[in-house]
Amino acid sequence: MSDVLQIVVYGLTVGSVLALVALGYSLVFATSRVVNFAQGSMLVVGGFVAFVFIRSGLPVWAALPLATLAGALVGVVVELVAIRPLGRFDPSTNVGWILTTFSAGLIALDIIKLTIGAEPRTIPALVDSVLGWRGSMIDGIPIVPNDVLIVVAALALMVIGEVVQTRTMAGRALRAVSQDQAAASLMGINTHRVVMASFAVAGALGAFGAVLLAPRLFVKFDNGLLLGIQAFVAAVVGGLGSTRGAVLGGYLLGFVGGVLRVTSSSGGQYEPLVIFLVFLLVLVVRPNGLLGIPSVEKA
Amino acid sequence: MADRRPDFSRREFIEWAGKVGFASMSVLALTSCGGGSSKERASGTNTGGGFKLSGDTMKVGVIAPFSGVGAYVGRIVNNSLDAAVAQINATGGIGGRKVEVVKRDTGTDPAAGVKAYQAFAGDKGVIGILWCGGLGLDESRAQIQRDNMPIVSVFNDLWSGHQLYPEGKERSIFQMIMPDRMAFDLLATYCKDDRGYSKVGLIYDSLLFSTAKGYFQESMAKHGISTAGIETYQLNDADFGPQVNRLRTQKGEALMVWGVSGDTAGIVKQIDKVGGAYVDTPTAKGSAWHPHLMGSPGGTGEHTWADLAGSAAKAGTLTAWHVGGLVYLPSFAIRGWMQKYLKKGVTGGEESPADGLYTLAKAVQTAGTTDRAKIVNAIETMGDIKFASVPFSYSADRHLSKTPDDLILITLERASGPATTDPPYQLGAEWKSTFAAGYVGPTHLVRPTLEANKRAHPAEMDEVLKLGYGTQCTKMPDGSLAKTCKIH
Repeated sequence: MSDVLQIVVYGLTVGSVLALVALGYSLVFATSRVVNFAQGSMLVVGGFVAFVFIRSGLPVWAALPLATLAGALVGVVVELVAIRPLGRFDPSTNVGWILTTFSAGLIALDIIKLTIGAEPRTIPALVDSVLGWRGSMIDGIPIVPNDVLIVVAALALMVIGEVVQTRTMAGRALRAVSQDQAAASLMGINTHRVVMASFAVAGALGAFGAVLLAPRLFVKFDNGLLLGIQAFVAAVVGGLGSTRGAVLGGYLLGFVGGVLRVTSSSGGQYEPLVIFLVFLLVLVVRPNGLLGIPSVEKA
Repeated sequence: MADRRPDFSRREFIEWAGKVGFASMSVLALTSCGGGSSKERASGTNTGGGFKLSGDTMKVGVIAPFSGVGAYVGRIVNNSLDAAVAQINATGGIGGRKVEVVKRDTGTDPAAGVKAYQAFAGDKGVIGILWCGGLGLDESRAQIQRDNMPIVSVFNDLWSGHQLYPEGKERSIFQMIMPDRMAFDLLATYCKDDRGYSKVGLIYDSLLFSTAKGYFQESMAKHGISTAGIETYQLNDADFGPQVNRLRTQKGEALMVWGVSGDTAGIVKQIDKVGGAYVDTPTAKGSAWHPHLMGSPGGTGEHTWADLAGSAAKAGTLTAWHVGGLVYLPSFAIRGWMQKYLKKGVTGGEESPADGLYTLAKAVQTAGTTDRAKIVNAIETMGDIKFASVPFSYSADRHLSKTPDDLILITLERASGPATTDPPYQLGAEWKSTFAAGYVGPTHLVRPTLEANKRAHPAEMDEVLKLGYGTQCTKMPDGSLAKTCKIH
């Protein structure tokens, strides 16, 4: 029982962490068909910006929206410097975006290093207690409010993403751009603006995630590269471009990691091997990921 | 163990060697563009080819990460060497000859380190190389052996893996940094002899510190300590619940955490969450699980892990370091040179590149030639070398600058005051002279290694005792230090 609970707790918390970051990858891919390799850096930038606000005396709840806004602005800048100058291009044949997005992320990190510093930082948990509940021990496994918030936030963002995409004009525009930019443009949709908005939301998600995850992962440069890669894998497994897929991919990886670690002292060593086997298996069976939409070859 | 500065620290350069390998693999996998750029930055004048001993400048090659994620290592190397070169040249050089360092950047590419080595090896004017954490040393070893190029491995640990001469083949390589294997042995000795622990667990980063398990098992077996669980994790893991739960069931009296500071902080927070935080030695030996924590130099060896873990970081958490790293001691020259020439404070680690530079230059003076074999021979035979901090030496059968007597224990303390113990103890002079108000970090725990340290460095330990540096525990009426300070 204890092992099962441990796997569930690990899978949900780590899966939610990955899902929060994977959502950013998925959203940008949905509109632009490019993978934003600066997404991991946005997590770092958002975290350090939040740290600066908190160091200046703001409470974490006030720093959160400001950091999220800053993350959105960084997302816009990344789109302007890494994607817009490439003009209209086919992401499947012109892969300059790999280098431009990656470079934009590295530049953002260097700016943080030069202005704020490279030292790892900590910021307080968004919630220490809920109605007096400060955490519980179930079968020796601690459950704390901030971890619950991480899980709720990942699921809530998935639901919000789904609702926005299916029930709002902005969401319909996003889906139209996702399916065919040229046709969407002919229908009067400002495709540049939609793509830019997706980068902005991805940046905001990065910053939001950074604040939420800080009690577990702190604010540090490692998060950008290491968590960014894992989340990218989660997004691809779930289906790039799919909100539900990003979350599903995150949980799949989280539970795989949980099973490995709970069943063996050295299980973590095999996580990359097992995860990339899952990755390959999923892509062989479903090339567009578990919930990805198959692309249609146009005549 | 140093002035508190926001940019970089000892932890970072210790972390570097492992981290950069992983980062480079990831970056290369993502971009498929691994062409390394090797950038030369020379300070002073390039003497070109024909190096004449008399009256010429001595040129030393430096291979380090000056860019990329390990750039902070490069900054430590830069500061150390800039101060050392300025000092040597301002005081007439060594044997009347000035020194010049030529720096090459490895970035995150081992191939850049190999190329840098080849460039230096082909330059007859280079008297030797300081390998300061840059990648490519392993890949260059065969060629180093053929070239007999004098190398001081400043931040690369070959000794722990039994790869340093005479166990390794390359007689021209000498090591400065304290080896991990020696650190484990010191901690095991302390567990057994000082605290009386009989069951010790380990949790280590299997990516960056894959050799930790072997060193741990070796040292535990040597001291007759039983193992209370061995757990692994991976760099930047988000959850340590399963591992901590298993360790809790094993009820070790001490736990070694071998990884970098961020993960160490995460593990410590998890232990605190399950109610297992360290209290003191009697509690650690009690029926409930409250292990005495001991970390790697890059984990609990400086303040960052404590900053991140907050109240979960408990006074008394230990790691191993070395006497030469007590850079705040007034008699250690590197601190004054950095102030004088660079207007900067020391952060820890700056003593090592400077000492490596002096070793090579002094060996040329001793040998009276730039013949590489004779320089190597001079390093082995010239006896004590004293420059930036403590004296050290090499010999024909010992190419490691550190001996077990060099090692010290450092322990977490807070500027707010010592933990409550019976009998009480007090914080050392560095908490007034060096550390900022509110500082939380490791400081020298004097008593456990005092006798050994006195054998190796009597003058420096005399300074520590007389000026009151380090946590010295309770002083007994006869002036001896009590062994009964529970928290440590």
